[in-house]
Amino acid sequence: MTLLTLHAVRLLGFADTDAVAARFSQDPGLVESTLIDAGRTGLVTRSTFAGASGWLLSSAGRAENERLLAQELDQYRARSLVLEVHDDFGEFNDGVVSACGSLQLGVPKNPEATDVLIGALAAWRPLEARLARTLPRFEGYSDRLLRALKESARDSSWLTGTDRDSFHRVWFEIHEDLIATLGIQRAQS
Amino acid sequence: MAMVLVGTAASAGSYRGVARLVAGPDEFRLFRSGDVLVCRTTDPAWTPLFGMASAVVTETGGMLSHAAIVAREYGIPAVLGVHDALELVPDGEIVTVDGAAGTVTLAGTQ
Repeated sequence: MTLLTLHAVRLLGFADTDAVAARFSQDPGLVESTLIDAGRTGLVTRSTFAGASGWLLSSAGRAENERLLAQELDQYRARSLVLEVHDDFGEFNDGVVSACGSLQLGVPKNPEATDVLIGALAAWRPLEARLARTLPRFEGYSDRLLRALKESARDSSWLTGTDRDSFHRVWFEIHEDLIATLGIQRAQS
Repeated sequence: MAMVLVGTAASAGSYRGVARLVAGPDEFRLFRSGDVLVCRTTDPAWTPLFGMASAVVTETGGMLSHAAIVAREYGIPAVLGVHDALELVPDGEIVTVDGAAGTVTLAGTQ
């Protein structure tokens, strides 16, 4: 309960109780109790930005999140698996971020950049499947990426927007999930 | 002589304002709308600050970083990969961030 709740806050960055609960399909009431308890011990804080209120992981909460994730990796003997997937992800991460940049800076409809994103989804799908066989919490990213691509056909905001579950937002979250799970620092991106 | 820090021009635009050094989420509460965000790196937790910031300066990252994408989405200038920005920019200093030239100019030295 605590692992998935803290990890949901980590992945979402800043989110209210319902969104935190929905991230891993947890009961909202139990998640709220967990968050209130975590707030008492300084693992999360309740904040307001630009009129929106939500939960934010503190430095102590981030450390506790990584401690629980390390326990999970040991329990399922999954460290080498996640390391391999992280390395494979890194091989096409730059291409995705570059394509997202091209889409922002160039013409809205950029077939070559869109092809890169379609290719990235195809490359990510088997990696997600490998992870999810051992760590089911990694399920769902491919479906969200596919939805973003489909929606982008009518509204290009679904490629890089920050106000929706856009392709870049989901991709950013995968990256955060992998580095959080491994307890490593974000390097250049 | 003006002190000009150089990094990667990641999101175009120019803004002159108060630099706010933020080490991590525990210091988010100190950030005020309109401040220039100066930090080491960012992750999804920092996205709400991009919505309040008038410009962003980071020590890591470059054109191929998630921070560049998010800054462009918010339409704010960003200069990324500025070495030792947290050491060289005093908190509260007036700075000019030029996201097209990739420069951060400290007002105290102008």
